[in-house]
Amino acid sequence: MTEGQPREIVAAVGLTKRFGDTVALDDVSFVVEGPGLCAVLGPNGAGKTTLLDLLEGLAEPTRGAYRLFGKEPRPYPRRRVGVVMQKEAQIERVTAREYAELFSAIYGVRGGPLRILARARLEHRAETAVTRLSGGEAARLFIATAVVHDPTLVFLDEPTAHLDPENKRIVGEMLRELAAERTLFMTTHDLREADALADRLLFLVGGRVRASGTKDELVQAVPAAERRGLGVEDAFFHFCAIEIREGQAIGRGEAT
Amino acid sequence: MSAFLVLVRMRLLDTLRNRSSVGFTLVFPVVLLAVLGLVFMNGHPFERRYVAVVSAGGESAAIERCVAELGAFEEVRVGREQTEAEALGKLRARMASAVLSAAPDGGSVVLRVGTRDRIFGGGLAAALPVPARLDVAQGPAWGYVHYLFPGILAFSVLASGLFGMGYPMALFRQNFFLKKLATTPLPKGIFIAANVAARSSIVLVQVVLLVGAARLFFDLPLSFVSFGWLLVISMLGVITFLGAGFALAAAIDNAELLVDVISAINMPIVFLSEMFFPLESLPRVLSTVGAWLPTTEMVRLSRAVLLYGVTDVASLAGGLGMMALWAVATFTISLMTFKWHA
Repeated sequence: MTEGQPREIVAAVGLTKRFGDTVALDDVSFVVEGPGLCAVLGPNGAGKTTLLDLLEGLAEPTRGAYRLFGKEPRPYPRRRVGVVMQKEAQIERVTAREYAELFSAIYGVRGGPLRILARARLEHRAETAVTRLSGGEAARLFIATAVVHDPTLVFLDEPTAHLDPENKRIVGEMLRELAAERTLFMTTHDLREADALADRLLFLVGGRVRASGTKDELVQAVPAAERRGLGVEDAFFHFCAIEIREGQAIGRGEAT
Repeated sequence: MSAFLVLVRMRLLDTLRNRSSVGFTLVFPVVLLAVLGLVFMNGHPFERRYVAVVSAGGESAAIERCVAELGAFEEVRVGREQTEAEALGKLRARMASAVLSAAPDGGSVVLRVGTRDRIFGGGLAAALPVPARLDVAQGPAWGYVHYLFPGILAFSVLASGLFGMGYPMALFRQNFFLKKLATTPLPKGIFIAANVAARSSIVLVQVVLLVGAARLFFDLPLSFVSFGWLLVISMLGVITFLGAGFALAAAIDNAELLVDVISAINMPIVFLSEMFFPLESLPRVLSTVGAWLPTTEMVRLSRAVLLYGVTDVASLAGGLGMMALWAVATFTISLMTFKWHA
């Protein structure tokens, strides 16, 4: 395969995760090629964070397997992967500069702190405690830190949740820029954000994959009668076949 | 800068930027020393007068007759000390009211007391079944504080190790910092070593401050050699307790619960470790348990070095070896049980 052509970055084969009697992920299979941004969409409790925990090597699947960069991840290729967690570490009494220095040192990146602060546009807030940064500033710091070692693949768990529209836009620009050179595998609730940023989509409901593919493929597959001109949103409601009632996602066939 | 050094600096700054942490770690032990020193400046308040019998150097018929005679008196407790230095150390520290040893002629004994026990010594000498020479020696003004000091030192190191490592680790797990680190190539050993190095540095400063205060305000007997040994003993102690703190944080995820558990563990350790009174004062079962604790060994070694003038490696090797075994044990457990995230 030549440089620049899409290649397999993440693949899951029958990935299943149980917590006691609860099935968090059920026979999940998909292939994500890179570079680009793959948005994993699903309601609360769909299994998005569990899926990321498995793919980040933080938990073992009950059944099934996954590949990273076309290979079994043994040992886990930590230097080729970056992670932005849903609940990033809020360490008291650590400044943005010190936070950047820590992760630069872990990856052995010279000049990393300056690069992180510049990418996050936080040079003027370098001496501010991480816990005192605004939501948007913190999100930019965490994303910039996660890519300080120039990883091929970055997992992001709802990186724009709870951000105001302006900060969503700024972080979105940052993600678009990063996705040009690497693969971003990002969970989100925000269908419009996915529409604006994603090249590929993975719809996850109740721990099962409802559909996956490029954005164009999935949007085109929506029957004309169901199209409202909303792109990813149309595709999501078509494939996931869910209605949102009282904050809970209910399968169409299950609705009473 | 390496990840190890960055982590060490981060942990040091975290402590120094936290006023309550600085107060608890560096100031509180000195205040505790001052308060207990002033409260107990007149000696040990808890038990009967102790007559320390020097039994090193073989059996002495005169001594044995005295011990048998003194056994009949309820006012005194008689115990045997391995060396004369240890017995005299206890006399100076006011843990003993009198020291009884054989006179060179073999038929009589020497009874040594402090100036505050002159009358007691006279009565005791008169009650003995063999001729006794009474020596009255001037002891240091803060003798009992000298006895207390190793206990306060061990207590401070224990608290710094257990709380200083256990609480932040549980907090790091709770706020997902450890989970974040798990997504990086940082080796577990580097993380643990950096935390140990940072906390040990803080404890080192704590020990120096405490020794300085004891020397300055309470005339603690100190030489360069005994100070050096004190640092070695404290470092072995802190490594043991940091390991225990790590292991506890691995077992208990919740930071608040961990604080409660450590407090519950701390209390009996304080009473079972000879920090404030000798193990002989306790029921046999408790004194047997206490004798195995690393804190007891730390207290005994520190007393031997400071009060009894023991500074040769051979005499300290047994206690140091036991502390080293504790350090290895707690760190083996912490390495085996440490996990980045639940």
